[in-house]
Amino acid sequence: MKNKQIASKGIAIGKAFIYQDEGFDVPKNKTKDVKKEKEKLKDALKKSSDDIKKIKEKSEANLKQNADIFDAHLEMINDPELIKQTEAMIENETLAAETAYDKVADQYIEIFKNMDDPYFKERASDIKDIKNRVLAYLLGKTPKTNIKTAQEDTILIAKDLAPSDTATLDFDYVKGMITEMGGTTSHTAIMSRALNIPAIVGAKGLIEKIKSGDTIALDALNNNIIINPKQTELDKLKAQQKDWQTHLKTLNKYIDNPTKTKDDHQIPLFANIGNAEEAKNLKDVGAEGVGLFRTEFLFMQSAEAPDLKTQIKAYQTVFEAIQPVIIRTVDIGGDKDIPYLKLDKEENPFLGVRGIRLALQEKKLFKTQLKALLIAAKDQDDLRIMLPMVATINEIKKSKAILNEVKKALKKDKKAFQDNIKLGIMIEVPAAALNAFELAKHVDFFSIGTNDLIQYLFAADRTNENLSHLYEPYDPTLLSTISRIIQAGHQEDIPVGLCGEIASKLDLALILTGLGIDELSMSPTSILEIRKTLASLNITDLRTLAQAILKAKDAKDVKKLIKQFKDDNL
Amino acid sequence: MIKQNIIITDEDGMHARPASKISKIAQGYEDAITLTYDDKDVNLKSILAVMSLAIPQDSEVTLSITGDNEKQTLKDILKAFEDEGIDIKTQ
Repeated sequence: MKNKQIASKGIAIGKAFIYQDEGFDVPKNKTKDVKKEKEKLKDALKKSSDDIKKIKEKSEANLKQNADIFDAHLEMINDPELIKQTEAMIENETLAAETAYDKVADQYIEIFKNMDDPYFKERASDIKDIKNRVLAYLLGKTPKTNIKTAQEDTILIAKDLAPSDTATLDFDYVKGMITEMGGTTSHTAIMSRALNIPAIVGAKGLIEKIKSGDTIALDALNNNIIINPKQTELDKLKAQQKDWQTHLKTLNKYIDNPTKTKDDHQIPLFANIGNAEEAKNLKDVGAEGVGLFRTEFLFMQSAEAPDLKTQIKAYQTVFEAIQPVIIRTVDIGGDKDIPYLKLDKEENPFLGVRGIRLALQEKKLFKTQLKALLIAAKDQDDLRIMLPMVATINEIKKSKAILNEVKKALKKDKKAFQDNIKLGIMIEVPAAALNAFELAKHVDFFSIGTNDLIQYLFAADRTNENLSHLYEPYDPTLLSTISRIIQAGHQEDIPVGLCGEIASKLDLALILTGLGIDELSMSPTSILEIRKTLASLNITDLRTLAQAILKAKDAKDVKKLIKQFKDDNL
Repeated sequence: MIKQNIIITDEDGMHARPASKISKIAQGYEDAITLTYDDKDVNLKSILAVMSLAIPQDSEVTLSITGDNEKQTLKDILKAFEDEGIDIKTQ
């Protein structure tokens, strides 16, 4: 576990819950009591249906995802053909319910798996999902997603967590998360910060050392994981946990204050969010707005594209919670696949059809999203739409034409919508960074997306652990690129924000402020710490620091300068 | 028994969301309801059976209804298709 990293700060102690996608080995059980087996089946189906109903209610309540897929799951569990065939097999072959159900469900899984149409092919996993749940009950085990019903503090441990996994997890009892894979920009990491749950990522080899139910002390302040800790260790950690909470309390004084330096330079600190639910708590952590609302989560967590109504509801939830909000249109592709779009498999998805490229290709999807946004924002002061992965002026022009079409259609239907639209772009492709002076003439704002800009600038995959030395946010090449983008925006009088993970890092937030950034959008939990620090510094000093840093020769130099600055000023 | 040919014109064909809703509605009827596509007959009350046909856009399918309220059931089922966002063209 050498390479493990803190993804979200804090300390958590709880029982290990190992989340893995495991099937069941179903023994070939015979039965003498056919009637009893049928009863057993009925009971397992009932329990499974009840589970799904609860999951559906939960999903709808917190809007984490489109809950329609659970209607399909419910229908699959209660499918009359599946039940009839299972009962017939129990009777004719005197098989135990689990053996018969396993066989019949597998026949359906095979049918779907062998289909040509990728959408229907993917449905095999839905049947597998319900099969595993029903089988778990038939075998007297607990279904894996029963973390939903956990009644004690839990540390969630997984090899990796995909967005679709986390969408169905219930975090009421999850006090901490550990994954074996991933770095600090993985989905798990981003989500743990958004949910304010301590997390460590990249803890390779952990799962084979533990079993479910072990007590785990997750020390995401000192990057340490203790399995079945001794009482003395627990006492020490609990003391640290208390200190950490006290520290968080001192930060709370800054919740309602706007962010400004000692010499009154204002720099709004916004939050990055990944689903509508997260918007609800943003004011409690001091966010002054949303600088990046990642809408693709809406598209990834269901089996089909979310319809207009679902989207409007989700966007309105965010608009009602906080203002202003910068909404990024759907950024699918790269590492985020969507089965129902039936996208071609790409050799190199990060350089493939993603972001605005996909939106311009899947026009129906793009139009529905724009339409939903325009309607959802009808009672707001404005609507800020941001396009991802823009590389050329032509992409902006095409997007504007589509936006105009949507507006025209709404006008024709006499639907109320928001007409005051600010259209901005992410600057995350090197071509856009280089052409920023021209691009600035065509849009209303820039937001620098450093997660991708760094990996494209240095041609270093951000998920490749062997290249983490190249994924270096302190590199002066990156910082001077950012400086240039800011100048380009300011020359055309448009604001330039930044919404990458680097904004959450105090040192970098200070440098970026000195470079003249107009707004920083970050993990919500980093806002107060940065606000507190900025309040004790002068913008004039930060500008001097930034100028010195632009002349630095490497990342090590930059780090030295910032350390010196902090020693002198804090 | 009465029969009705229809063409599914929805561009996604007969996918999970409408299939789940239509099977559920079909389960509310005593009459036997069969969906025929590509010479295969399935029980419309079974979502798995319906989806196992993987019906794509522009497919012609046949609804066959046997029971005491055939006409009313057919009318309701056709409406269910339309309500669930599946465009159909009757033939």
